[in-house]
Amino acid sequence: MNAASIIVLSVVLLAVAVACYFIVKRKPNTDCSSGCGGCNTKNCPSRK
Amino acid sequence: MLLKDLKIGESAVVEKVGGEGALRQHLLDMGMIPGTELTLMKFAPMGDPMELRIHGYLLTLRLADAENIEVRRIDAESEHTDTKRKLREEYPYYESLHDHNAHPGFGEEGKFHSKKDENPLPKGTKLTFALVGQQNCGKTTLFNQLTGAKQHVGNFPGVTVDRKDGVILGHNDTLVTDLPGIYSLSPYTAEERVARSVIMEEQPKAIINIVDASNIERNLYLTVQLMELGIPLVLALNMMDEVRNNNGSIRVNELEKILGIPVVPISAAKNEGVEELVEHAIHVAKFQEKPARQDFCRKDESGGAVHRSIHSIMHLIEDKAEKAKIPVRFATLKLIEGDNLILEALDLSPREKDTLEHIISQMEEERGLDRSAAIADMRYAFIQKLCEQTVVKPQESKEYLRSRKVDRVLTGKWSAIPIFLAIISLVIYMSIELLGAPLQSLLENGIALLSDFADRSMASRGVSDAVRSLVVDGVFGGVGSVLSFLPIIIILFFFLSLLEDSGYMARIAFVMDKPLRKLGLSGHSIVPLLIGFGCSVPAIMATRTLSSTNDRKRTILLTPFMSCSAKIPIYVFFAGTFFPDHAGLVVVLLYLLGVVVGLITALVTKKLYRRTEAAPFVMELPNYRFPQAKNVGHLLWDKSMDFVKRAFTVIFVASVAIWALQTFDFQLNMVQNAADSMLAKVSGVVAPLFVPMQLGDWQIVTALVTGFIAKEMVVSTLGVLDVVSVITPLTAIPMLVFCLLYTPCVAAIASVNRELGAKWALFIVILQCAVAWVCAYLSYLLATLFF
Repeated sequence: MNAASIIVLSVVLLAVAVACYFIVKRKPNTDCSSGCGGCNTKNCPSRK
Repeated sequence: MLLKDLKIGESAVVEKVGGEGALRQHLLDMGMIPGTELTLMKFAPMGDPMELRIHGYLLTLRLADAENIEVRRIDAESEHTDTKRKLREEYPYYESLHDHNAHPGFGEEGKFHSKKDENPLPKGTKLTFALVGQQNCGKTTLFNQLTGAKQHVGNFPGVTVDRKDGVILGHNDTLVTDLPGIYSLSPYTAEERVARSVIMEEQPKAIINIVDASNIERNLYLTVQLMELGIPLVLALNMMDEVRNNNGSIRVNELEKILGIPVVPISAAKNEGVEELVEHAIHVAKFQEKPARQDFCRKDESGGAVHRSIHSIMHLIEDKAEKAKIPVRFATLKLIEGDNLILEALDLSPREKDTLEHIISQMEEERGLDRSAAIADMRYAFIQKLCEQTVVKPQESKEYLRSRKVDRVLTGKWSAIPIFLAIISLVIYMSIELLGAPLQSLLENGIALLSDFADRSMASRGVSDAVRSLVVDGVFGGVGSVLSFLPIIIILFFFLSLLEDSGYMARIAFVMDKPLRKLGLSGHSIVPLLIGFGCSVPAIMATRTLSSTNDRKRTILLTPFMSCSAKIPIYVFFAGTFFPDHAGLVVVLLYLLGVVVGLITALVTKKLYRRTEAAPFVMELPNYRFPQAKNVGHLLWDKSMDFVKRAFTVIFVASVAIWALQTFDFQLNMVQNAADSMLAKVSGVVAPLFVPMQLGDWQIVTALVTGFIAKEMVVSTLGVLDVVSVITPLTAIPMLVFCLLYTPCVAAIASVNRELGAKWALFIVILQCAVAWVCAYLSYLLATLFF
């Protein structure tokens, strides 16, 4: 494998790592850890 | 007579509001109280629900619910005058609080409080604000102006279903929370419970109460309840530009003198008055200036029964309310209204409970109204008189007159349903065929050129075949093929946002209530179902506006059958490849099939569920408005960015993973024949299930499996694996049907899990896969007759 191949491969793998980071980091927008905001999801403390 | 027996155009005075529980309280909160005048405007095209005009706004109500309301028809014009005169005589004017309280010069910066009593919050305290208002009064528009955020707004009651926090621009020590729209602080709907808990548990330093000035009477109903909480409050009169344009005006200074809170006229959409509002909000929060008036009952009003009962209960529970940290006035009124949550929180002794019941019963007897109606009547009486003193009402707003004209056609008896079907078909046709297809092929060609360029560049630099294949087949083949569908998705969301922003979405709910009720759903369910054509995730979240849990569950069950925009690439790909002459027809038939299967599922689940009585349909119909370019722009930007992010995260990673799985075998050797790859072996396990419809090929099964990650992946996998050669027009049909109906993507399943729990999520996955398999097999059998 020549240098160009290694560079391209590294770039792709780095991009995959960054994408994985963003996938894992992404929080659902109904997160109520900072207090109840009306998400009304199954764990919502305000839900009857 | 009963309200349901009223004829179109007739007016009547409400005599009695029957029924019980949440619906009754909601009706009272909406202003349907004894003595109120209303006019029947029209019936929905199928004869139910009805549209009423009350307190100057339009309210929809089912005939079954209208059966509980007794009215007296007003036959002559003189009676209108009589009702108004009686009101004037019965209720006294309210004096300004200006002369006998310690708040000189309300509304003037720096003069809210007397200097000697001032007790500002310590420096550095974070000033937290709750943004509270009734539905569709412009809260989110104001929130966006305050914080510079780009939250989605729409001309439909209940757009905000999530909590949104943001810092006010230029004031880093502030935090404002946008709450869902509520009509009152009763604990009956999820939104009301949430707003109450945020205000009472999180104790914001102040409340910014936004009201629709063009519909001020009903909006102030929430204001007086917020004032009872004793939290610093500033009132923002929104849409003042509309009021002025219709020759109306509000005597702001007088209004704030009577209420004892700062009142700021604004136009959130035009960003007028927002700066002044911020100054006042920060001021009341910093100096903790509580509303000067909390007493809305009068000794001389209707015999004074309500006044006496409120004040005696306040004395009775004062210590318990202090202990429970609930404002005593608020607790008293909620106790009278029969609010069990407050009753539990106060922990009254049996004797206190007895006394409470005696006082309330005495009040009911003397006042001649039941407890809830008496309190609602007291509040509305105050508001009505307040408005008489401070509001110069415009005769009839231009927006209202325009809406009536438009509604004659869009919700007309014969025209409503054909127009609804025509609009939806047009939206789909324009998005996919007319505008979307050319733009999509343009983008596709661009991506192909880029891919070609990258391939040639790498070849000239001697990059190895495996790495080239990774970039060209894996990255460009996977991400590129999905990205090319961006124009179609943008155009679809553009039209959906126009429908919502204009106010037509609310009319669709009104028109479709009766047919949906036959399926055990309510008209409100149509909104999540329509959003489902865009994306199942926001559609599932939109079900939060449905008040009944049963409605929510069944709407969520049906939503994935509404073909989402991520499936468009699959349809366009297959229809274009195998049925080029009838591509548009094939796509429309698929959409219809999704709807039909959804309807059948609804009917079946209706039979299975014993309790399928639809939730009440009490909704305000907003005036039609011209969609604002800024709102539509924000929405399109959000959706596009969301799609692009997905393409470069989930789909990118999955494409690379699939490329790796189909390029290597289990010993990590590069395979010459893709059939020896890991992917082929794994997919081979599931493949027999699809043999009956001739879809047992491992490449096809792989494409379907990757569709679980995201539906766009089906096409990108087909691109990576070059599957077209193994599909024929005969097998394309069951493939399309299966793709239409089988389980939505991981994101949608995660949403179901969040809303209803893991059991329901699993149930929906299994049910939809089973339905998809059966329908695909049936479509295959049908297709064999033609191919």
